[in-house]
Amino acid sequence: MNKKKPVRLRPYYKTRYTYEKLRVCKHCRSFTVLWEDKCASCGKHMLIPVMEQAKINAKRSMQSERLISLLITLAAVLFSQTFLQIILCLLGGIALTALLWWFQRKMLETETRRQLDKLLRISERRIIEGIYLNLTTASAAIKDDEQLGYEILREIATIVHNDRIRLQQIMLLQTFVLRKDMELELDPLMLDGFEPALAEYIGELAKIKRELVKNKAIRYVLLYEREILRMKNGAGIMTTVAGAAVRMKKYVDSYPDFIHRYARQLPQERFLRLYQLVRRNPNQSWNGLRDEVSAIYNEKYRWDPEFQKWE
Amino acid sequence: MIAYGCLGILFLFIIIKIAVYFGRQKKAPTPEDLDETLLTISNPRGDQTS
Repeated sequence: MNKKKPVRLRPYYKTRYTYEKLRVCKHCRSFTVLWEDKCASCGKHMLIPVMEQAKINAKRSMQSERLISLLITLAAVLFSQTFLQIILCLLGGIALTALLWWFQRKMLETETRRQLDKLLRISERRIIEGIYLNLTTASAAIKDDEQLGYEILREIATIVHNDRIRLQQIMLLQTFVLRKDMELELDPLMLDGFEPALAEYIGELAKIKRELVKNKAIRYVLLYEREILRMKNGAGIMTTVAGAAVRMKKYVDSYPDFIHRYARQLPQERFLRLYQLVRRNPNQSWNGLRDEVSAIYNEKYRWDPEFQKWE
Repeated sequence: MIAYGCLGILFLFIIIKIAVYFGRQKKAPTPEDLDETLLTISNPRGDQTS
């Protein structure tokens, strides 16, 4: 087994919307989801967020309309026969152009979104090519520097959702020493099929960052319980996940049988948490879990001072 | 008279543009729609599994 490496991952900036991660080169129109300064296609420092490009497009289109409006005003002035007509046409033209400008300013946000939609649709092929280029960068990086490779894949995974990328991310994560202060994720990495590396990763997160173990992960270990138990540390993984599940009552409500099966193996601190939950909810039997907790308590922790506080 | 005709054309142009902007405002994609469009493009052939 490879020795795990200590790493310090670069911060991951989560954006509200996925498209905020996408950037386009103003020079060659290539797309990228990575943080690079230079465009990987043309080498120019002209990458801007797609939203900014859409805003430029919207403003350009509005500018053309204002120009047409001013040209018609100019034509009106040129065709004027008297000074009064010149003044009237000039004032009228300027007033109407100002009205158009005022409306355009009000509609800039809507127009930008419309332009972005147009940009995405007409650039479909370029976006896919950009993603492929990013994936090539990731593959090259993985060979030299696994940490950089993971960071690149994490960015790509924002817009590309497939099991191949998720699996690569899990495999890379398994080569790092995971720490509590790391920006880790679990739900976006969940796979459809059984993968021992994912089961190990869930088990590790259940130890160091149990708040990440949610319904999806619990359902996954339950679905593949038999396969996980056949793994070298399978029982340990199931127990740590059960230990993570007892942190919230909703998980005990949803998976009492699962917790019942592993309650006996829970470390003291996790069993104390379960014991507290059981004591706080005297009306719930949770399918026999209450009796099991009582039995374990009587066998192992009856005289433990930590538990005496809850008597 | 041609000058006033031009002014009339300008007036019509502005009215049409404002009407078009109003129409587009109603049909403008939301940020969620844009996200969906991008995800559809970047995950072709039902590759998308979440």
